[in-house]
Amino acid sequence: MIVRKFLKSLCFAGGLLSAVGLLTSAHAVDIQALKEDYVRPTDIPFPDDNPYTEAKAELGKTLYFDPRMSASGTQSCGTCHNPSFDWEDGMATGTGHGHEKLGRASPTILNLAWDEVFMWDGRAESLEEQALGPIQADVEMNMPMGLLLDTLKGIEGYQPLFAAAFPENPEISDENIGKAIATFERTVVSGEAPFDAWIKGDETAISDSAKRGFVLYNGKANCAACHAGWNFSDNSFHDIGIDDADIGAGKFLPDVVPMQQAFKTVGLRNIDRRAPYMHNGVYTTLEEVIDHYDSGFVKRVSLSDEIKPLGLTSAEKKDLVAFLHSLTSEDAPVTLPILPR
Amino acid sequence: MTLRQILVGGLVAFSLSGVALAETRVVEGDEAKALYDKLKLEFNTLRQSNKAFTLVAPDGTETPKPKKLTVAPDELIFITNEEEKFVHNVYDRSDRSWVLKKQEPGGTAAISFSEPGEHKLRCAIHPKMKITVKVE
Repeated sequence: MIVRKFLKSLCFAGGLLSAVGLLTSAHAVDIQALKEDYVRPTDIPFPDDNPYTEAKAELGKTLYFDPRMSASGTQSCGTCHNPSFDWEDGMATGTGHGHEKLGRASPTILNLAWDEVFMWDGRAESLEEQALGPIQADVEMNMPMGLLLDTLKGIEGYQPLFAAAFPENPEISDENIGKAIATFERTVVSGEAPFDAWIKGDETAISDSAKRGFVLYNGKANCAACHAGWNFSDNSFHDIGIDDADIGAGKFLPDVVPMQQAFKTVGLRNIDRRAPYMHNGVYTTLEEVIDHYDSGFVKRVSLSDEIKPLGLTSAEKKDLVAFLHSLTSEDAPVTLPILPR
Repeated sequence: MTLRQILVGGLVAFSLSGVALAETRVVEGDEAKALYDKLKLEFNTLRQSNKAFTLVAPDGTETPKPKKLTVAPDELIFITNEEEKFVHNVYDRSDRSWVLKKQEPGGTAAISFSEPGEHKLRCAIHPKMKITVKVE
């Protein structure tokens, strides 16, 4: 839709064309109209039934980084969703209870406040629900909820944190744990990247190659069909032709073809620091990812209609990579909480 | 006028082309288009465009990205796909049953729910396109 919109509005008034170098061979594009789709939001959305408070976010951060949330006492949420790795783990797939390898990559928690459904296969309806899943999953943190509640109730220092976060109902409960962790996670937002400065009007913020990559991203390379908007995801589900047997969202919707081997479209903020890529970590570089979308996908009946051979030149691929590098922000290091005893 | 009355009264000839839930009735294809042309000024329409719902009330009032729609049992709701290219797959998140397993651009459907209750309708591929339909 975005592509059609700007291609339709071919602009012959010089003011809207920022540089001759941005023209693709076939089309002149209205860069300014396109840029409006990528403006950062000014506020973080919090749901009506779990509004933000500082005390709740602080409790959530404490729980997030507490390894006593796992059966082994060695894994916190932050073990696999590690701020030092842009809230991922830097590995192809996650590592669960007993150091067993998991089948899918640990996705970042950056910018989840704007997401609609959660997990690679979309099985969690809310961030509150999602937060409690891996804690209890036997292959991940393997912590039964009853044992978790007993453990937290036995740590004296948690009681005042719950009281401050939930003054009307300070119980150490699964509901309050989910709400607190979700509140903290919603505060995890990637900072302003060079791309954002360019969107705001600083023409020197990104290279000409990155600007050409932005046009390709929205045009010939068709990335924006799904990786749309300021966080570069519309949260949609697609089979993008990764060669593995994981059926993804098809597990829950077995009788509709496009959902077989479909996974959630991830955001692309800080993407050059988030390798390996894809739901199974099969690619280690952005160049490999672009080669996949260009021609390396598996053709099968469930393959998304949006995935077609792109015919990108090597120069165009370089421009796309330059554009993706412009999405990375210089964020301040995350401080770790002193855990209650 | 309800779908049941239409069915019983035989005002419009059509057949049920799919049943997602025991109490969910779905009409698609030419029959749905005929219903829509005849009755769109009497019932709500959920228009799908830009991967989002817009609620079009019988009087033409439009609400982009509506959160909730309240209808009576058996009251018709039209669902139209006015995208240029996106196929939508609307299901009931409440019990993961299908409402419209596949609706191509240009498609029209008429649905109704026979019993009071709440249905969280959502596109499987584009989950930001969603609405809660309350039947009371």
